Amino acid sequence: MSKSVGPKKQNTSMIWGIALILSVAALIGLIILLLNWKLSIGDSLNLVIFGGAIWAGILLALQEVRSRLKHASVPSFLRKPNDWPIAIVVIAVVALGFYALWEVSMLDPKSKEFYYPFRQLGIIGALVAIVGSALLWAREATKPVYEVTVANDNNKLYLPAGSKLMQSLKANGYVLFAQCGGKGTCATCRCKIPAGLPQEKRMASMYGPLNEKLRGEGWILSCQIVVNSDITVDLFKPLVQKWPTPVATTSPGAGSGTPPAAPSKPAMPAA
Amino acid sequence: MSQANEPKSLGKIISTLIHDSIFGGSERATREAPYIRDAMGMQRYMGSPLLAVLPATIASIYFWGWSSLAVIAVAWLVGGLIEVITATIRKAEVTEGFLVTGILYALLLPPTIYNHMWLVALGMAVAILIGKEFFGGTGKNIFNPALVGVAFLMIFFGDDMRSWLQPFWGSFPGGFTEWAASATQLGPNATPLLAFQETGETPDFLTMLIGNHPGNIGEVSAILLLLGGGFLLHGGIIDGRISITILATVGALTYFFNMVAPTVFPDPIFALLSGSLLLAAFLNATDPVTSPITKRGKILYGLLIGILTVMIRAYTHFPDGVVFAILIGNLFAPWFDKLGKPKSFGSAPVS
Repeated sequence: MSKSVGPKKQNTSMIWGIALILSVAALIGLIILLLNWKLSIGDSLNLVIFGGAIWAGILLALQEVRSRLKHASVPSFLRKPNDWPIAIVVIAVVALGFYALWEVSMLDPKSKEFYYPFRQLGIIGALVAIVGSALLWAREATKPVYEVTVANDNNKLYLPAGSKLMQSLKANGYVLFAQCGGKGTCATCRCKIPAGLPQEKRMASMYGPLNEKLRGEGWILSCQIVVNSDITVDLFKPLVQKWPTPVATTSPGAGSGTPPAAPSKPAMPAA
Repeated sequence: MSQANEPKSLGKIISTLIHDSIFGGSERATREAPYIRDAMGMQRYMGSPLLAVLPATIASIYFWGWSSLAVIAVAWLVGGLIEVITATIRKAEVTEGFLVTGILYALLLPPTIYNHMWLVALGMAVAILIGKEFFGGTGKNIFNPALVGVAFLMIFFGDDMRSWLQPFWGSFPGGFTEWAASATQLGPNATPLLAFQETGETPDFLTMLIGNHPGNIGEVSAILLLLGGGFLLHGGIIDGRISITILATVGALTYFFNMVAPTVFPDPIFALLSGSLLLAAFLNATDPVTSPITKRGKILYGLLIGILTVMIRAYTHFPDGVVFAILIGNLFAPWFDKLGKPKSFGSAPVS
């Protein structure tokens, strides 16, 4: 089993978005350079960045419009060859909207009246974006990473401080039922923590509806635990399955044998 | 509504009856956009914008004469006709949506448009047919139908859409006894925004507030539009996030840009009260079908419309850019909804 860090996977769509913006910007920059090579580097950069961002935004917006129109009761004669007629209608209305902006793009960028406020807005916006993202990045980068050992299969996860245990385990492929979704009311996400969470740090809320017997055995709700030190987790046995496993192994006796189902003895609320 | 509330006293029964006959409450929840959670029917939901523009509509008769009402009537007639025909073709119910579309469309036309009633009819046909029915009818349209019609006329019949008049002002019967305001009345015929573009002069605050200046049929009187907008906000018909974000963005941008380039950007109070900004921000932009439904999406939508409005007003020959800005905002609304979608709890992806 490979070592994986939880929250990294969610950034892929962002990377694709940035790649899209950059490629569209490069294309528009090339066109602008071919059309008007007298612009200074600063002006062309400004045009390319703003133009690229606007084009990428329009493309993403049109994609959403298309997915919304997919289920609308558009008249059949506008559907016929591959939704082309309704696409042309959408583009015609968009053109009505952008007609006024066309004139803005035709203005001479050299004229100070046109340029001045937007250049200042651009500079301030860029500064805020750069400084803000640098600060955010620094905060992420300096966050300590803790080692979470899952005792059931001896896998080690590396989670940034402050991540929620149940959700991080889920994100790393562990099948936890957590039926209440992390509210601490169903106890289907319960686990034991043999090392790393001293008794004085266990709050009353971490036990939720568990009764005295289960509390005495060391059960605790993983959805209520925030990772702030190196810990070892011993998950509720029948539920620890990577998703593919119960599907792939059908022969009796393989693995733990029991399919991931609800716990045999549902936890009762403490009397 | 009456069944749900179980009215006790006679007075309550009578008031509920009056309320229901005006607004037409319904027990059923709506199945498609606009989604309504309240004990409120489609009829009452569509009736509220009509009530909100009622003061401005009555004032428009005073300002421009009865021809302004004729323009609205033509818009309703054409809209209703197309609505009935398309509803027959697609075997669906006729909805009241065309009444709101028709009046919001007519209020954004110049008062001299009554000379070309066929233009009113053409624009309304474009609005209902292309703006709404082509996308699948009520609740499915991507763009605000009224604005599609107005933008179509503004682009293809620009000269007819730019002939404004000085309104009736000063005496009581005013336009109530006249058919139309005549072009021979004293005063300039340019709207305040156009006058600012050409000469750099702006009327005083009180003129802008009351509305005794040239402009489109329903947009001149800022105070009556604020009254209507306040009614919609108070009644919970519209969400303040959109309108207030638009107005705040326009105000803030013109405030700062006015300090940098005062010949291009007017002072913020004038910018807020002039043109169709108030009408559009309260009624067109908050259309529940074409605006985002998520909270963050609404803020993004308002910001985009505000920025575009300021840009179009400053840098194009169109004196007022709200119509185009909202059409572009409508295009981005589904995407903003996706961006602003709150994450459901405990839904981390399973790898």
